[in-house]
Parts: sequence; structure tokens; C-alpha cells
Amino acid sequence: MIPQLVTLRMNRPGGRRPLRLFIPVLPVLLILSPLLLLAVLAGAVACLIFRVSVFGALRGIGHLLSALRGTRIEIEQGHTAVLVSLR
Amino acid sequence: MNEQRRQVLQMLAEGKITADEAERLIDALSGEEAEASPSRPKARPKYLRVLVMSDDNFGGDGKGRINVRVPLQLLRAGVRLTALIPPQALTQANAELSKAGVPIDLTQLKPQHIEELIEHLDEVTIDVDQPDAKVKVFCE
Repeated sequence: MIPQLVTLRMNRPGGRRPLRLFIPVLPVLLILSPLLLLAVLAGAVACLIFRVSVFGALRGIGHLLSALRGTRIEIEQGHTAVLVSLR
Repeated sequence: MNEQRRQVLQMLAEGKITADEAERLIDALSGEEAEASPSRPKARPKYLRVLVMSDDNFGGDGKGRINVRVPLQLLRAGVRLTALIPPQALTQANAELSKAGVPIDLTQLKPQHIEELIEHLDEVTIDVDQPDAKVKVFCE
């Protein structure tokens, strides 16, 4: 299953309020679906040009997306911090 | 065979207890052993974790810390994608690597080899300890 929620948190220097974004993946994908369709078509054409299996590539990308769940990246430098979490 | 079992068998051989009693005693001992050392299989790690702690004060902003958790499944999925790389691309990459003085033949690197590498990654722990920085790579 692909990640359902992407959490983005940024602590900014100077005592400003941290920025928190909760991005629901499925609604965003639905909104971007026309663009995604174009990207998939472009990818399929590229696969045909470079003689790569289209279904193999789609399956591989599907596996990659579904494996992203649980990824967490946290970077802190002094008062500045960035957190990206995929759940 | 442990000492208690040996004693039970000894008593049976000497005729002090019957075969049924010996069986019951051995069953009871087996139960005790199972409780004493539960043989639960160790849970397989699911994530690769990279921790970096640095005391370096880059830009005067203070200490730095990096904490990355990547699912091992993601590494496996990435490895499966490498099977899609066309052979002509691998040949070109080999030529460029040779030019750069790195004679590695990427066509010999099969996905199953990398898969095996990832399978055994859960036993890896890397600890780098410097006075001003610490790096830890492990699976959890």
C-alpha cells in the first residue's frame, strides 16, 4: 500500500513558529491525476524507445512507492530542523 | 542429555519407578525447559537507520543531527528496478567507469546478488566515533 500521509515539519530560526504540513497522498494524487497520466504516457514512450518492459517498469515503480511507507528523514542544524515522514 | 533426565532414566533402570512414571517425569522436565528458554524467533529488522551527530558549528548555527530511517523493503524494490536497465546502458556505464579508473563490470552484478546483500544487511552495525562527530548505521 502506498503511503497515506506525508508529514513535513520545518523549525525556523529566530523563534518563529514551526511550519507543519500534513499532506494526504491520495487526494493529492487524484488532483494531479491528469498530469500523472501524461507522465505515465511519456514514461511508456521512453520505455519503448529504450526497449524496457513497460509493465516491468510500472510494477517496479509500484513496488518502490509501496515500500516508501515508514520512511523518516530528520535533519537538524542548530535551530533549523526539517522532518519528512511518510506514513 | 541433562542431569535430571539421566536421573529419571537411572531410576527406571533400577526399577524404582515404572515406565509411565518415567514418561510423566520427562514430560514435566521438558515443559520446564521450554518455559526456561522460550525459543521465539528473533523479529526481522524492517528499517535501515542512519544516525549522524556532529558537534561542528557550520555557519555558527549550532550542532547538527541527521536521523534517517529507510525501510529495507525500499532497498529491495530499488534493486528490482535495476533489472530494467537496458544492457547498452550498462555497457556505456562500464566504459565510463573504466575511463575513470574504476574497472567494475556492472553486467556481472545480478539483482539476486544485491538481494542477498540486503538480506544480510540486518546483521550490519557500523559505528564511527570521532571526537567531534558520531555516525551509526544499523538495522532495527
